[in-house]
Amino acid sequence: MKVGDQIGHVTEEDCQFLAQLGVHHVRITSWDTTMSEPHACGVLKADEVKKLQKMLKPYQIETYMFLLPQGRDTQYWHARFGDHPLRDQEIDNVCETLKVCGDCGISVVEWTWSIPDVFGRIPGPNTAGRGGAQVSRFNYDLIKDKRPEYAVDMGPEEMWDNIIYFMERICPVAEQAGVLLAMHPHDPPTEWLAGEARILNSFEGMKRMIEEVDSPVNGFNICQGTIAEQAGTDVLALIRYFGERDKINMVHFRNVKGTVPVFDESFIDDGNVDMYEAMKVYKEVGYRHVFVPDHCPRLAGDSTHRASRAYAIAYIRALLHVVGEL
Amino acid sequence: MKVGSRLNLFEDEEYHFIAQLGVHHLALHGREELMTEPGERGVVRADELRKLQEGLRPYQLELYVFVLPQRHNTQYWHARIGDPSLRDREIEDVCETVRICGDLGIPVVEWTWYITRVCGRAYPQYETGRGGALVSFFDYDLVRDERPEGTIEMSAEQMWANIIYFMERVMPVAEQAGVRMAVHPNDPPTKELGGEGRVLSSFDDMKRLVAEVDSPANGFNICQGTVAEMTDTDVLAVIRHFGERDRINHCHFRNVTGSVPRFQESFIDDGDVDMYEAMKVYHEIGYQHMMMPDHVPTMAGDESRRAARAYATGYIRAVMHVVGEL
Repeated sequence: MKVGDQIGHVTEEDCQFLAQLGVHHVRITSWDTTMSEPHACGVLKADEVKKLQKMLKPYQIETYMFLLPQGRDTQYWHARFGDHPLRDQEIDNVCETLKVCGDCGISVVEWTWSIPDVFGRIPGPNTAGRGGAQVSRFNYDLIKDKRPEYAVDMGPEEMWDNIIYFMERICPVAEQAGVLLAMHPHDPPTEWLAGEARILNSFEGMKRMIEEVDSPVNGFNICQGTIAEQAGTDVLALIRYFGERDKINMVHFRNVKGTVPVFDESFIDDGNVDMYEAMKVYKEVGYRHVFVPDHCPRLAGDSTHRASRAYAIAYIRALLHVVGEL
Repeated sequence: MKVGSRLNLFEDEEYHFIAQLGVHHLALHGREELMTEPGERGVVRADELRKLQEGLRPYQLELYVFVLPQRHNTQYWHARIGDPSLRDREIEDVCETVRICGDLGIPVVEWTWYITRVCGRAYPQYETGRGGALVSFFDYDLVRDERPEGTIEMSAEQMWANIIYFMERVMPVAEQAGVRMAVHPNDPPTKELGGEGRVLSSFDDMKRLVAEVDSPANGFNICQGTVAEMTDTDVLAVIRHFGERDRINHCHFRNVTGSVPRFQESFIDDGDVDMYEAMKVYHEIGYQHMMMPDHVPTMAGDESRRAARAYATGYIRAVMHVVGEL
């Protein structure tokens, strides 16, 4: 098991900081100049990845994961809408990107499947975190009637049809390319959000996903925050279930308080889940990829967010050490 | 056990930061503005401590350790060198300070006994920590002939006579006041430094200290960094020995690589001691006071040292949780 972090544009100082934290595995992401077309569309450019790898190499930092473009109108946006004229071209672009990742030695490609995405976090300061820390809050009642202008009404079976169409085409390519796929379940995991049926909002939905397309590369980013937000889900049982089936290809090792309909994000050791118990399950099931902190509450005076990440990464490193992995 | 922090600044942002780390217990140094006389001399000012306690209360922060002034010519400097003209008056100042701490509910008072702490080139920082982090480095060969200003030639036996004289007068007052004394062993723990015979530079020295004045108030700050710097010393055995005898009243939970004559400080999880193993020993022997990071490496872009402090604190909280203390 490995401790990691997620990076975008980085400076030499950022790289130094990561190496000092003992982090050698990162998830990279895309932006306009790293994709072949504007607005993070088209195919990932291998030369841009190699440029970044060259910068990271002196720090012994490896690009272990890549996150496909997520936002509105990016790489495979229209594929989410089903039978759209751009769908097959977009899926080809994703497939080409998987090959580029494979060629560049990236082991895991993370992806998401949503139109409203993480829509609905309440705006404004919420100082409900430990010691008055500002943390992100979700309250379904406050947003259930709101929807972004690009939202569409889409029921569960249509959502399933579209995601299955997508997976059936990309999984074989990922297998060929030697790349594992890591699907991030829906955050927030409500039944519905802005007209969209959230099909990956539960243990059952996640089980169905891997059963629908049976491929050794088809797995999850177990975003533990998101899983813990799911009403009625036993987080440890879920880790065990997918871990035993070798379906965990990445982990967001973070915590929350509460579940849908109302929850707050939290410091790693201040939420619903005992992270040591969770770590023991990953160890038992033989998980071998990366743990990243993902969201962390911002500590006072931490304008760079470095202290907040350092806290979470140290916590992860300690647990990895305790279970004999570091 | 309690996870703690040094209080570096008397500012709301610092209090917020510490509270957000999940820390509620603080070590406070007897700095100039807290003392009745200039040059960190005289008695601690009860009114200043009370004011500080008031300010800390909304953050649920508690003053748990008061650190007596340490440097050249401060509160009990002449007692250390056995100067009869000022010694008894200085010891009375210390006793009064201990009484005030007791009155204000501060349960631990830390003290030191050295003439030469850090001399000459003893502790420059080099980019030799993990990932090029700046860490302090000591090499006895570089400093053995140095005599910085303020150093005095004094044999170890004379130093012992002086420390025993001090302890015989302070310990009964501490017992009366309900305060536990925590002496910090000599850092660096060389046999000799700057002409001074070092009294607290080995396991045997530490055993002698508690044997010379057998009082329930007489114990240590187990600065694990310093103990690990002692040549051929089994750190876990030291913790167990003094812990079983209820002689550990405070702990600097930090790490180093190497030992006298050459060592360097390190990240908490990058030194010679397995900190999880150490934590298990504290738990087994029923240690109930503070664990704090103390020195931390200087990380890239972390001028405030908050990331480095957050890192160490996150690690401590994790191993403390694993042994069932948090």
